[in-house]
Amino acid sequence: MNRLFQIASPRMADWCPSQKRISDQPFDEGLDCDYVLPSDIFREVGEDTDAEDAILSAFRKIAKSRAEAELALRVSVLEKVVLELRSIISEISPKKESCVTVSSMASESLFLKKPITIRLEVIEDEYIATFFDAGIGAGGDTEMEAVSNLKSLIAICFRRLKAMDPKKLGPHPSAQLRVLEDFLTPTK
Amino acid sequence: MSKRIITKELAVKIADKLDAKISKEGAHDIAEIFYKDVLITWFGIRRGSEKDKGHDYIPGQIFLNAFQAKRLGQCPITYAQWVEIAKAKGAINEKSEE
Repeated sequence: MNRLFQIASPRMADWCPSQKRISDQPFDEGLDCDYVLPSDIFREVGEDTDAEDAILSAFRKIAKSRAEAELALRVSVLEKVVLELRSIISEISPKKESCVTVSSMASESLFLKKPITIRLEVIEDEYIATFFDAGIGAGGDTEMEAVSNLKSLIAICFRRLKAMDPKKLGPHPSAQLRVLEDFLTPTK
Repeated sequence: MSKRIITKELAVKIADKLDAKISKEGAHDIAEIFYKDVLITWFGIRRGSEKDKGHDYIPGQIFLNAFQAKRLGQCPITYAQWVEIAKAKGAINEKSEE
């Protein structure tokens, strides 16, 4: 029995008539005794069926562990592929965008002369609200928060730019102020 | 693969790089960028401790695309290069240099 294991254990691939490795065979075929165990091995142990069973059991264990390792490898490769595909799909899928109309500033000091159209965009788990006319943007964890942050930035921007010396405003802030004056007026 | 490009951490770096004047206003820090004493642009940075909070609205407000803004925050684009870009886009008026 010991002798048999010495013969059998390290070089199973040598017993395969077609010189294929056991791991190259599907699990069920790999367990075929005629395929992996040539009859001359059994000649060594005669009618020792216990030894035969032990060898078969050892082969089954080895083949099973190889099959499991192979399966784990395949699963990990597939997981990687799925992640890559997901990322490609999210890249090519249409952006989640919408437009909302704001008709009040919810501010004590500012009155909205006409509604503002805001574009809302979802980036991952966050929302970006943009008032394109004035080139002002803000972010938030929810749609409401993004819009509320944008309103507050619009109010801050209007107040600050209005308070500044017009000569100290570059082309972009000057244009922002002109747009904001079109939409907003201080409450009396 | 993350779609978010400008995080809060990067927004703060961009503000530093452009030598922005920071002031606190409500839930935001307002970064104002001056060139020769003239306000060129400004943007808001959300308060909060999360460094990865999204600030992807900033690039447009500093006249860059998202990747240029990222490079500005990460160093390859210098303040002088940004000034050139802003001038090319008309955001810095030549008269304001006088």
